Amino acid sequence: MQTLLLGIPLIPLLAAPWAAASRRGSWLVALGACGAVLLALVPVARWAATGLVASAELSWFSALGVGYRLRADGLSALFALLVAGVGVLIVLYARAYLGHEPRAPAFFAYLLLFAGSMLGLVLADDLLTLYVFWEGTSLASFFLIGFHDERWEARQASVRALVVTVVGGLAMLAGFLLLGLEAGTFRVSELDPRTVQGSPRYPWVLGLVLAGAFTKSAQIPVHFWLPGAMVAPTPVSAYLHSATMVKAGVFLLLRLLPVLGGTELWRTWILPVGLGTFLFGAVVAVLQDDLKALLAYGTVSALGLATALAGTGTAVGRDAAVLYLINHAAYKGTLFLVAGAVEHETGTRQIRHLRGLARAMPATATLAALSVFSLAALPASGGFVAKDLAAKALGHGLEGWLWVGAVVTAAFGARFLQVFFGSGEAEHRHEPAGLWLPALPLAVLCVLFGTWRQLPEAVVDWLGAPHNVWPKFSWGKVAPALLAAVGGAGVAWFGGTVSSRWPEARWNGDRIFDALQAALLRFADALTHLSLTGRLRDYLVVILGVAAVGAGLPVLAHARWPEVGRLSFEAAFVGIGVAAVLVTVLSRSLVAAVVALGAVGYSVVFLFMGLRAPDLALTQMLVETVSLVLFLAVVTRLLSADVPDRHPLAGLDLLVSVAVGVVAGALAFQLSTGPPSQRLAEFFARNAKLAGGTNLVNLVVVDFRGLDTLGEITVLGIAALGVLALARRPR
Amino acid sequence: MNLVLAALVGLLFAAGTWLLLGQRILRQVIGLGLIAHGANLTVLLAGGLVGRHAPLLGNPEPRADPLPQALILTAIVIGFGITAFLLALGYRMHALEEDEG
Amino acid sequence: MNSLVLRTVARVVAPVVVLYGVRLLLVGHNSPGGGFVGGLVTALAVVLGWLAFGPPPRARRWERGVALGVGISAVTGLAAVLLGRPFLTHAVLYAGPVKLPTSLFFDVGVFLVVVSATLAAVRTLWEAGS
Repeated sequence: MQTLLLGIPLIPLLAAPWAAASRRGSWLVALGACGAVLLALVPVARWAATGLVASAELSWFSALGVGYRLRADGLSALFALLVAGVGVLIVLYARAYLGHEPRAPAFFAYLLLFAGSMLGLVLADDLLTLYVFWEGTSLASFFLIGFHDERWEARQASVRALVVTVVGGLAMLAGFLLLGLEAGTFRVSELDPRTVQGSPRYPWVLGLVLAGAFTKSAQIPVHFWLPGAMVAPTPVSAYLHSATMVKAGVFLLLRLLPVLGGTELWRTWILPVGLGTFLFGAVVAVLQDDLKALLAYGTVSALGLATALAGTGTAVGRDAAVLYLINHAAYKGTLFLVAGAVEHETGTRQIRHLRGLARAMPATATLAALSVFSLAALPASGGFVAKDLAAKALGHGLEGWLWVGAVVTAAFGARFLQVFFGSGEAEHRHEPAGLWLPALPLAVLCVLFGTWRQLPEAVVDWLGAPHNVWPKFSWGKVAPALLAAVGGAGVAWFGGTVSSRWPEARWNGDRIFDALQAALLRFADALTHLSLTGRLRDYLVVILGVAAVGAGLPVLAHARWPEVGRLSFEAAFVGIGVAAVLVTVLSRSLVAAVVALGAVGYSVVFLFMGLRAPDLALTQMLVETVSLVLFLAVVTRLLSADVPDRHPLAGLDLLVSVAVGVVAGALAFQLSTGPPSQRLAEFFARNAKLAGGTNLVNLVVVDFRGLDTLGEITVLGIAALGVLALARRPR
Repeated sequence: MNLVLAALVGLLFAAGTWLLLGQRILRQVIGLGLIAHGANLTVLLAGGLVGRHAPLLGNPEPRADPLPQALILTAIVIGFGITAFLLALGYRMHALEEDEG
Repeated sequence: MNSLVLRTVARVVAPVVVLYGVRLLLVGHNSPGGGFVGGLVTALAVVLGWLAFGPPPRARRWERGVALGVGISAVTGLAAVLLGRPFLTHAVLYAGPVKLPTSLFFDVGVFLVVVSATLAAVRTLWEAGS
């Protein structure tokens, strides 16, 4: 049982590559995976229904107390069932909708990636596990919105959605880390509300977590990515961007309600945003002419209400939010599938071009009507029950908002239904069963929730606090609902006349986002031009300058005042070396510079000799001689390239050179004054017998550190091959 | 003596950097050679100048530390390889520029 | 440079210097010398010969010498692996009074690489420069 729980998110994730690899049967793989999840959820849900909580974990970062932990209480089980159940229907629908789309396997693979991530998200009992799955859903959403990647709008919309949700997600991660550190655990079920809310960091935690929740659930002012996401294939809009993923934000609020909620801060930060989004979304929805855009703004509105309900911070608010979200998944899912079917059959989603479809598509029209009833919260629909509980949760002070919203909501529902009424040429249209049958269970759910008392009561029961949620069908409640619907129809008519003349908003979120994106790209461009000049000298100035400052500060900070100490006769060779170095720099003649380099080398040879390094002296002398031969071999050919062309910023070059020199000299001096360790020298002397020699330097080279030497002769060989390849005359 | 050698190291690095920052390929190779000398001397200095005799077992103590010497030996030879390679590179660059006119 | 004096000197000196280079290789274990130094000395002797008599008309395939040298050095290390010791572990062999460290074979590889690489560079750049 416990292990089974751990496997639930993994089933779709593991099936995803399989679906991608199979050609025609990819939908079957997806269906099988969602079905398997549904089956696996049955025992989990049974436990949850009886108030038991299944939990399991695999250790992950055990040192940090982070694990792959899942836990299925009532809230988690309800959302998991929603994800898997709607998933099955969506897969069936997508098979008919996509038809012979050649990239269907990729589509189903992304869908499974999403389903697995979403299941992990709702079941997670560890903040970081939750975060990982959270971003997994964002990623899957990105791929699915940009599924038609040959279209610019699809790519741009997917980027907008990804950036908004991931930025919010990162803020949320920061909030989670703060929360985990304050509470001393990352285990969601063990977070202690008193510790967290008593902490001075509580406002930060709350603010950061809300940033994640609001971006994911498309609250104003970052709602714009959700209508943009409508370029995705319609099954995606129905599944991710209406029924499940966008609810993750509200889910997060409900999940953390016991820990972070119940405070004044919680109410004042969440309620205004939620209610504002609720009304804004509904009003804008009425003005849309595109079926999917209308539904998208409707979803924004619904998410606003659910957020507001969570923002009440009460148990009733939580129950109302869950009931409302499940209802919303049922009716909005149906409406999206209907919109998809309409577009599939007529080729358009513009309301003004669609009339009288009820005759050609009677089943589709019936489903649409059933779900609009629920949307408009008419009696005997799930929406009525949910809105009634919502009114109770919001209380008398805020109930008014709900009724205003209900009128506008009914209005855009009516606008949607418009396409089925009236007369139009609809003879050629038909409705394939694959495009309406999958919506049927959802539409039935809309009705069941409003007529079968046990259903909403069971939901509330699972959430842990059984109370009476069934509304009394008194006139006092039914009449306002009917009035709102009638009023809504009136508003719909008005909205229809306005929508055709509605000027496109000048500064909507999309444009602001695009402008910011363009500005960022211009900034990056300018920075690139500034930093990547293509001239070696500029790069060297930066690299050496940074090295000089970076190494110089610590060296100079620990500097001891130097003492000259005893001079030995080698100082004379230092003098020769200095003179030769100055010649290499100051000489105008290239040949003189080359010879001077040789002179520097020979003075180093004598220094090596004086410093008891005969091997070095010998090697350096020979290398210096051969190098001189090489230089002189090519110098005549390169004389013409040796024109003085000092950069105009020669002062900067000089500054960097002097700085590098000072730091290198100081570093060399500091290194030489430390007490030298003789440990290795003693080791080599002790073990020289094993190597069979007395010249310790040679023994180190060929025996003790033979691997270094092997690497070195390889480098030398490669350099020689390079010379051959670069300078050999073609035959 | 340390200070004198450290001053030489500083001068080698400064002059090498100056030549490296110029635009002339052969002078850049010379600069790199100067920096290589400076680096080798730095390693030798870091080993400490306590030795009075070469690191041959027959010699009496105190002997110079063989490890820095072995490291520098390697560095000298690799430096030689790099010099040869850069000269070939410079030659080829110049030949290509001449071809282009 | 192609003078009679140079030729006469080179005729005598170059073989001696080559021998000296080989000697440096062999004594490197006990006194200053070894594969690097010996290789450089030997290469310089050859260069001296080129100066006197002119370089060989056809460029040799120096890359083969490089490969042979690296190969010899690597193989001497592999012998230890066959005996179950870490790569490049060396031993001292005794043949009567003669002491023969196996690391000498390693140094022979180094010698070959240095000679080949040096001559390759000198010959190629020489030709390129003229």
